[in-house]
Amino acid sequence: MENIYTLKKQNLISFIKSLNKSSDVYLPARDNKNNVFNFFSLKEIEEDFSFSSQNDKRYSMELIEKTRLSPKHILFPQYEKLLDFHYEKNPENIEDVKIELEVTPPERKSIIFGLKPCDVQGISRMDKVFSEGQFTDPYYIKRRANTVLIAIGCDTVFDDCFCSMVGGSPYNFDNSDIGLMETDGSYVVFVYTDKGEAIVENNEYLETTSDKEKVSLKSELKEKDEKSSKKIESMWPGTKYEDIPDIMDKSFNLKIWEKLTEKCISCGACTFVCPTCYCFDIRDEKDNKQGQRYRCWDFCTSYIYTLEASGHNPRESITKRYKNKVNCKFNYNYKRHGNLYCVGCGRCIDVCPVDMDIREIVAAILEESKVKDK
Amino acid sequence: MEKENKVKEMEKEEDVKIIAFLCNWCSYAGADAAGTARLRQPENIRIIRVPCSGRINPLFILKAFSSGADGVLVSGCHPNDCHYTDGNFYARRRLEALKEYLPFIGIDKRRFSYQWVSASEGQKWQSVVVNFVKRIKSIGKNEPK
Amino acid sequence: MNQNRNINEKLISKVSEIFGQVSLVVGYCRGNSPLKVSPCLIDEKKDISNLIFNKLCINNLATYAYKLSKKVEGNIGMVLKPCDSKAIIQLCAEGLIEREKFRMITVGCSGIIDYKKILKEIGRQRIISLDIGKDNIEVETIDGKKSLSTKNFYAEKCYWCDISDNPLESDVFIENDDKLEVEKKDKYADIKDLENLSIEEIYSYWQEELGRCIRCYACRNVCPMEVCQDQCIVHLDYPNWESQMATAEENKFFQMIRVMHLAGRCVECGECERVCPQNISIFKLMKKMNQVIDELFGFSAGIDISQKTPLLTYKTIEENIEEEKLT
Repeated sequence: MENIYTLKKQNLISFIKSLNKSSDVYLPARDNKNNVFNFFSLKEIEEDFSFSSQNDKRYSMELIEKTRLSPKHILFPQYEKLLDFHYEKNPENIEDVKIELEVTPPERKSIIFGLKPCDVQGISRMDKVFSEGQFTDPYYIKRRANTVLIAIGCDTVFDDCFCSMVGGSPYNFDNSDIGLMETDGSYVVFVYTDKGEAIVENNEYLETTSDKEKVSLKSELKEKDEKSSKKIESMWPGTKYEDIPDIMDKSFNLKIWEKLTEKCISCGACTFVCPTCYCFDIRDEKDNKQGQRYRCWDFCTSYIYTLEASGHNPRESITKRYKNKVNCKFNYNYKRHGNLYCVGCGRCIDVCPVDMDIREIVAAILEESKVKDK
Repeated sequence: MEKENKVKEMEKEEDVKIIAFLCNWCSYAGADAAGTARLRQPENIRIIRVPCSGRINPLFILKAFSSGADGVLVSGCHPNDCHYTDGNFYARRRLEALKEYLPFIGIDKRRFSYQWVSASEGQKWQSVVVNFVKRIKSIGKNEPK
Repeated sequence: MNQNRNINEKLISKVSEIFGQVSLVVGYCRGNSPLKVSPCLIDEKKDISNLIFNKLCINNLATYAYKLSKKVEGNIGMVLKPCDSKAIIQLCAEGLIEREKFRMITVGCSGIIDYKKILKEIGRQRIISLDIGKDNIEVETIDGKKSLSTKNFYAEKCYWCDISDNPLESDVFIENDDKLEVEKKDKYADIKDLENLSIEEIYSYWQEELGRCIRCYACRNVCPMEVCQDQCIVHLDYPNWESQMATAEENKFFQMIRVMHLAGRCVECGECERVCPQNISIFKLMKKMNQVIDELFGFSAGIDISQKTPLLTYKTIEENIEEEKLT
């Protein structure tokens, strides 16, 4: 299933508004008051929102830059209630305990508009974690099934972009339902899935294209992809990304790890903005006889992440923890799910308080392992 | 309508919850003495016994507020009378700093007070509690608007 | 830029001189973007030439002081701005680190540029080059050149700094020919603005600010004074001080833990606010506590190495405390 439409630039706003009728639209918006740039639900910010930045509204849409936080919080919220529980004891028979559970699975339909191709890749990595293998996650799956992804290709690449170094590219629409390509007067709308088709079907703002146009638009997409990819200079030229996992395996005991990671301050900023970091913690919190079970994000660079009840901590130093983080992204998950779990969005580089750069660290490891081989 | 309002007002007043941290060696015994002497006290106060006012972490008070308390009262031994010599001197500095800080995070300063009540001052305890409860009632519940 | 080269050379030669006495030097080196510098830990003589010092050195390297003092055998050299040295002084005053273990290499400061302010102005474009002059900042991005007036882009703390040229404590002082020339601002201006609001407005202000918090703990971990990060009570289950639910109320309580543990200790480096991915104005919370401590006890942290933190001591008669009578 693939279909191509065009959308005039002046109709973009009406197009988004028409989508917002049947489901919740999330879009990248800048909160000008607080200087925050994240994905917001259009319904929540509608009152003080404008599509252009030339307005003095509090929120404005922005499609070129990438957001500070990745969009993962829409599908995998930072804090999510799994169930409510309530219990009652029979005072005459202490073994007679009545427990009531209440599960409220997510129901809302949503559309995420304006994702970067790296964000979509991030979501596809999450999909594998939560829906592949022996144990699957009903909350995530349910929410994901109700979500349509609309990506937009990147003509501008930023200092910290490196998707092409890890197997992506600025116009890679894999796994997205709809992809948008910006041309002079309009957006080209590539619809890849039935789910995507369902939301744009009979949309008054989209214009159909002929078969001949389709061929030329596809080749234009390819051209743009190559042009944008060229703007990203690889920091590990000559090494294919598929080879990184094996090199990581071999480099596990290199001494250089310590030098590379000692300046890390063990905060969770990089993990919390990362589109593929999926670690979470599940807790029960009760107040008298009722409470809730919830899950919340957790991060592997924290000391307590691996702290055992005995007081022993297998990853007591930041070097061990950071080594695990890099291996998780560039090694373990590649073997588990067949993808690098770094999509090259560069958000971690942007937010790091002490300027750690995951590209430099991987590049240094690759370099060092080469020296060792010789 | 007027009557309804009045009922509502009264409900609001009745409901205020006040957490009191009392030093084991003085104020707790003082409150006990007030009870033995059958001095009437409002029921809004929930007493938590601590070994010394110096044991009170300012975070106890903030936690009480964040869990829904409408007022917090701390009471310890008079300065120079601390069972552990200087616990209440440390407490005084901490609690005063906290008190000055509270308005900045949106909590009315009057919702918090620290007092010195000794074991024999049942009468004083009663008037402290009565006045404090009266004050909290006049401010109302600590509910975000 | 000449000035910069000058100070870099001085710094490198001074550090080379004392390198025998220390086994590790913490300093600044080039960062991954022209807007940022990166902290670096140097333990080999050949790397000393990487050291730089310029107007972008905003990080407070004293952040590493406590952790390294536990880990590194031998002495530690630390490149500090005068304001950063306050953190070392305060840590020494509290007995958390030993003064003899540290060689404080203090560099005279001509004001630090806050890269966040520049980013806000130019957007996150690809920056090709950046030249910070005395009056103007010339930024070249892929969209063209832009000239910004330097005086508007200093870090907030520079606008009330009065020790830029006068390290309170140092082993090596490198004088900077450039001096800090800014129009002084009231340190507590933003706090006063907030205090003019009603109590409900203040409450909802913080509710909104802290509702954004993602609990990454960057503010806690970057703080030079918060030395117990790995044992933080935030993570305790019993007693459950704090829920991991990221609601505004819980996030506020997390900040309150920080404020209370920093009462009379915060050296006002402003790192917590700088590192916040969500741009929450946490620094205001810290500054207010400092103001309270100053008013009550006349104390500012990080000034005098022999002075005790006010909350760890007492007077039998407190001049500035007026006790409230409820009877």
